[in-house]
Amino acid sequence: MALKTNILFPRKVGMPDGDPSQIHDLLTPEELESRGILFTSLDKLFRWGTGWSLWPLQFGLACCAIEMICTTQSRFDMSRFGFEVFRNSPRQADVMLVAGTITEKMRPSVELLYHQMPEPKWVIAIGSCAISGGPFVDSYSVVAGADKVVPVDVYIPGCPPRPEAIIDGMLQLKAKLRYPERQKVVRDVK
Amino acid sequence: MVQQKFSQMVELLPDTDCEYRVMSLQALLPICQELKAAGYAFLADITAVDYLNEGYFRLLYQVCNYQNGDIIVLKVDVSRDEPLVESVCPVWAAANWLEREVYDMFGIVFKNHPRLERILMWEGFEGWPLRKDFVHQPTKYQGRRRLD
Repeated sequence: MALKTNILFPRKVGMPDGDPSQIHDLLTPEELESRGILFTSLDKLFRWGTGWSLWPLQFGLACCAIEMICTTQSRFDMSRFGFEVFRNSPRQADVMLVAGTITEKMRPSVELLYHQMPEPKWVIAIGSCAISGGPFVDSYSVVAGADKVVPVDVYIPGCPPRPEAIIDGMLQLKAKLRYPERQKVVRDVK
Repeated sequence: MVQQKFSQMVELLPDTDCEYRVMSLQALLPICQELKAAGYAFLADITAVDYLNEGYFRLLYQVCNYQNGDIIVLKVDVSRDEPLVESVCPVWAAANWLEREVYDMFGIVFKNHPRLERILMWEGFEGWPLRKDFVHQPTKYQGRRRLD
């Protein structure tokens, strides 16, 4: 009933329309929310939506890939958080999960896959090898971490990390998307 | 069987019952041919060990017999200065990639190999990484990082 009168006679019932003389009629965000109206910026809404529909690239390099696969299966089930749509093509993927040791021979392929992904895109480094080269860092064939090749957003430590840790890493990426003000790295420097 | 047939060319290593040391490089191919004829149809592995101080590589050939489940290891020493061995590809086709791997890692050259190229390392890689005196020059993507 209220809606009907509002549409027909918007001025007379004092619907908030920015008129300073009727400022006492403006509703607070809480009042609007209680009536099912949510005010947000489009950017925020997009980021919220993106965080719930990240599509990872199905791409495993070494043993950490087994944990990544395990994370998608029924016991841990990444799809509870909206990450289940693993894509086989980098053209359809948002997130690159670097799961395992990058060798010098594989490096061009990793780089190419990253560049084939459409913007915006994120990278998660899973495990010691993808963080820094891990135990194989002194080897003749191993690249010392994924961030030597591609920009990394989230590092998940472990050798390999537990599926819970991988899920937590994905949630960290989601939090990074949702709250861009938290992106800054804070180090505990004394 | 091996000991009886090639008593001059091989010796059974002490404390083993299946590991034989081949005395000379020339004897390797005839022994392999004889083994294949005797039913050792499966070449499981070829690998090498670098004895830097002694100055030789030791090549290991592991061959199996499907009929009686027998496994034999042949060991032959190659000089580090002139690492040149006869290929066993004519005997076992499986030797093709195995010998390429040994060539890739140790730089041991196999004569009469159909296609002796690097198999694991990328094109343009220099050096033989599993040699004991190999010194690796890290690329810009490699090497430890310091936490300063």
